[in-house]
Amino acid sequence: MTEHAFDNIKVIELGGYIVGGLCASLLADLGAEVIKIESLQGDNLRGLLGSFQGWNRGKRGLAVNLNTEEGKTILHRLVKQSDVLVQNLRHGVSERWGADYATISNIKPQIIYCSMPGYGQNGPYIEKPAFDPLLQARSGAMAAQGGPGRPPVYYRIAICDYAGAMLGAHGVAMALYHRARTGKGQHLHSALLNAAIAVQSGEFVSYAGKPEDDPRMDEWGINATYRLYKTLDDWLFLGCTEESSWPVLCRALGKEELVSDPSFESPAKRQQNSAKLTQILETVFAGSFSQHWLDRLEGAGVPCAAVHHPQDLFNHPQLVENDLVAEHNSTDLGVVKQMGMVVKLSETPGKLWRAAPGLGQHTDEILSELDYSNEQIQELRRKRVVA
Amino acid sequence: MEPVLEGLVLVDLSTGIAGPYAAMLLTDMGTECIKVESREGDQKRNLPGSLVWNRGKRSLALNLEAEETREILYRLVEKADVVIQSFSPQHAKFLRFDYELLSRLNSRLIYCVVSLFGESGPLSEKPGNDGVASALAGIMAGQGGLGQPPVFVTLPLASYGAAFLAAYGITAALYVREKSGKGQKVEVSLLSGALAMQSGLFVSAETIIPMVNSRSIQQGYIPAYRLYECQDEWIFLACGNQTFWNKLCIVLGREDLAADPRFENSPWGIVEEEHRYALTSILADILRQKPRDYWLKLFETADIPCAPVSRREEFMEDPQVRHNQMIVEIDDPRAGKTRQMGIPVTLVDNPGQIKGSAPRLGEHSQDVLRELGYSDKKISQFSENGII
Repeated sequence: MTEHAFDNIKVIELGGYIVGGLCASLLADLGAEVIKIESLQGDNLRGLLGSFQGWNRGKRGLAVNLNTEEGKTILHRLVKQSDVLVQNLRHGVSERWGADYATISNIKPQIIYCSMPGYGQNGPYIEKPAFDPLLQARSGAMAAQGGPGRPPVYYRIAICDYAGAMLGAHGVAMALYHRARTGKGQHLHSALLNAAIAVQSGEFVSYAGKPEDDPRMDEWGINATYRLYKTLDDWLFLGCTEESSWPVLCRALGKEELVSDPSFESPAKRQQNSAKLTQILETVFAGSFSQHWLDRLEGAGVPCAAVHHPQDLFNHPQLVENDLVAEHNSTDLGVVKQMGMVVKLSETPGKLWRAAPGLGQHTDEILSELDYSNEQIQELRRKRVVA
Repeated sequence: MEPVLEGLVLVDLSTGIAGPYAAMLLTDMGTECIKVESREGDQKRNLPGSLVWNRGKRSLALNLEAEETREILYRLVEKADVVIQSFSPQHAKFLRFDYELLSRLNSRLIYCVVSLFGESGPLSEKPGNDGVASALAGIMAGQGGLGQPPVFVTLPLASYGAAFLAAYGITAALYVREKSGKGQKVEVSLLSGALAMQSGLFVSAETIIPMVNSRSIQQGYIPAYRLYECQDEWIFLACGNQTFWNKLCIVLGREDLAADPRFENSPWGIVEEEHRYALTSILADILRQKPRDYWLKLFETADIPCAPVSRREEFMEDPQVRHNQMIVEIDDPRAGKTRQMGIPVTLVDNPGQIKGSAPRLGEHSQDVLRELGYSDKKISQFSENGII
């Protein structure tokens, strides 16, 4: 019986940023042994200290210059003993580094090779540089978040990168399943562009007579009962969508009279008079503290939530109880707290191995495993092939 | 060349967005999916998205509370490889549909729970939806930024994150089953989906000082990496490293900006908020002078990352989207011709294939029951007794 789902699965990550980094970390979470290969300058996002941890936990780090022949040899020796290669390199780079599918699968026919470029394998845009917000902009996410007639809004969450990372991990898992049955590896690919649509799957559907999307009422919500409200001390979210919750909500807020108010007697009426209702509720919520309202609403079974910053959640009992907070020691930052096990498998639970590696932190260790002698390693360092 | 998950049977009892979407991702890749609904139907059936999240499935509508339904469900579970459900822990027990029980019926079963907040802990029975999970898990406050009011996020990101994680977890469990012969329970939640969608923001160390904002950051806060309004329309400028930033200064004929000590370490490292605003307003003044297409052409020629802000309808016509087959046409018996997302991940040797439109409520009840070995007489009895 395997202890973790991906025990003994060896993964090479090439490319970094968010999509490649997080995809490989998700595989590491389920037990894969991941080696992050970086250039001697390091992943471009190393400067974002905390975030870099959130995208790269659970790996070992190898810094190697893949523009050199010796560097390519290291990569190819590593490929021989690996199962998966994940890459999100800019178009043309993998060929230059001897890391394209043809070369890699020639060295290791059973390899599972996952590519996640910005725009696709081929097509009119593949030469363009890609960053998450460019796909947010093109795909309509920014315009829709802003709302008609208002400036577009930049999602602070790199939605295309995150979706791409998870879809990539799903793709690799499917290919591993196939390999377990047939012994065959294969090439699989997605793209930030595909992810941009997948992370708006319910929005990317059109047909004649489709009802208009609910326009966002303002920066705080869709309508009066699905909206953020400011209380005396903080904010809360009211998430009342079920018709049966409406009278319950009115009573919980001490506004029984709204139940019989003809302006709000049906969902259509409440939508129509949303501004008026919002104003009433704003006044009510502003009259007391968040905790007071949350207790009342929760007591009555009305969906609602405290509005937390990600930074406020590390001691939240719900997260702690569900293994959603993890702690590691990082060589760069000391003790790091971050997300725990986001996918829980009961029999093969996975493993939070370690914090993100420092640049080249495991170079020596990995090269010795590839049977390079200490002298050879020193020589490679001296020639700036590795760091 | 058969789809990678062909031959597997999935029973989808989940409602909402995350569970059905996860089931759809697996269905596109070859799994046969039976969507089990209450007789009133999945609560999200009224959303246009449900046409996407349920495509290619067959629908079996049952009175979930009725005693006789147990037997039907258990027969289904016996031949299933995967079950997805989104009941609260108490409700799953009440329906006698919890993992402990089902795993005894089928030891190879992979049982996936897509809950709101997780199976244990003080919030495990809390009612809610995507907005509630997103607010609680930091997405709305994070969008506002530290020091600013929260902002409502229109995309149901917690649900989408949970859907991807569920598809991933189930597939990992299928891989394990090939080796161990045993199924297991897979747990994800909207809460874990929300965290996975912001793993880079959900990090703390004493050595990191979070950035507080004194003004709204909804169009971005890094001058060379943000939205700008041109004479007519908006663009996103994404000079994500110093090379791109330097190119930008040259193309704009403003090498002085690259040399200005206030803007040293642009794009990411301008520490003073005041200097970030100064540079933002300089760039805004320049970009306002000319229409969008002028800038796009200029920047693209110089390999400076940028993109137009377009609407979803426009993106559906985008040549690269077409090239990737990311928008497909599916005929739906009710909605007519629909256009919706394609398959986001391609396994070159075992690609997926969309099986068809979303089912009507209970469209396949009789077929599915017949396949489970029920006689026509028994099926009409079920129908008379309000079971199906």
